[in-house]
Amino acid sequence: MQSAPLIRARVVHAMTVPFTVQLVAAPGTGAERFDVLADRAAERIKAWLDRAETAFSPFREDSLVGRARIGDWKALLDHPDFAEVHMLAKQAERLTDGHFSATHAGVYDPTGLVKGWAVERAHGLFLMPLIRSGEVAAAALGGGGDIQTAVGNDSDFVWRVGVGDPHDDGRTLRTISLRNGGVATSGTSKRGEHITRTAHDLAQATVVDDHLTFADMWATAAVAAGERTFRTLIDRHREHRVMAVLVRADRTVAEIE
Amino acid sequence: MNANATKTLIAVVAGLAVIGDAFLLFVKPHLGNGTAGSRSVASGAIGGSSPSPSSGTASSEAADSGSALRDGTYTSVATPNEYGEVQLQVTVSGGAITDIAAIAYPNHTNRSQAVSAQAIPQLIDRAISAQSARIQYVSGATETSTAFANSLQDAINQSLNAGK
Repeated sequence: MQSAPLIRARVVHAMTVPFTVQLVAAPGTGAERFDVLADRAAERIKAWLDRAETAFSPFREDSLVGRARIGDWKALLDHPDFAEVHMLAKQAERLTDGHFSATHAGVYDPTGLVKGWAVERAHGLFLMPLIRSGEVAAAALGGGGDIQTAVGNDSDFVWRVGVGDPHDDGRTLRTISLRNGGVATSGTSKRGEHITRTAHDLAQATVVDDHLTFADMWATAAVAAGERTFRTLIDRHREHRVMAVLVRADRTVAEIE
Repeated sequence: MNANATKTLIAVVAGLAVIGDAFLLFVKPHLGNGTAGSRSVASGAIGGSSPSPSSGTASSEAADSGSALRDGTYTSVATPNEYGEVQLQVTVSGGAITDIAAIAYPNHTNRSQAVSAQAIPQLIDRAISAQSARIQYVSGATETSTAFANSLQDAINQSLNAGK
């Protein structure tokens, strides 16, 4: 009775990164209808990510971030998303004792948080409704190492995310299984992320959290702070059961479960 | 006329939907002067095309949107998440935001615990295991658009789409 589920993948390019949308069909959803759902979801996600990039790009003077950098913070009152990202950035700085920072070279730069936040938000806006409708059993969105997953209550599907090997593009080092949650990876070479490092013992950090925004923040903090400090930081939040796969500079791998 | 009424209704409902949807609203200048007390500024998601005409409450407010901000201290509605609550306090002086302060509360409060408890139910299904070929996603630090073709994720996507 159990057959392999029907999965469709769509790729959209936004924020200089390829994003992969994956949908798992619910038992009653035909292939043709399913393709339409996947195409439509990808289209909407692409449009939304493009607008997010326009709003949050630190490189455009006319973006909300660009204006904030020259002292015009009016967007805090006008744009709930801008205000939300700013609050999350403040919260991230506190949670990580400043190892995550939204200030780069003296000016506001929430880039390190925006992509994870945008993926989580786009997933909530465009993929969760498909699960709730019953036509889709599970749905995930990932790009640039940041992935948000979800599975409907009626499905026993489990998402499996490979942790990339920073020293070999074609290889994975571990597999993370999860249903609902976020997986984020930070490394020394992640694009657009300005990490001020106080330790250099980690080559890469992959973190699993309920929410991708926080997984992303923890991964950035891990690379910046080093393994010892990172373990201390997440120890304060044991109740959240943050999981991590750390690749050390000496290429050994540590797991935190 | 009927059509007009319907239009108004739609506008009101849409406005309410936006407010309900907006993650955060700034409210209640502490140094409120008259009507400013209920001023809240909300736009939709970042999709909002133009600097949003105040989508909120009273139509009289739409008139002054776009003009200089009223002086005072605005506090955002708390936004609870799994790690606590954060509020922003914004000081407007001379029509411009002159100070931004963040107030954070750890999630000791019942409210945020309830939020994090109901947010994502299936925590226990998570595990880290040995490397496997049967994956849907790769989480790594190097993937960019230029390097995507022939990447591991690209190969996985193609094989998934090839499955019937």
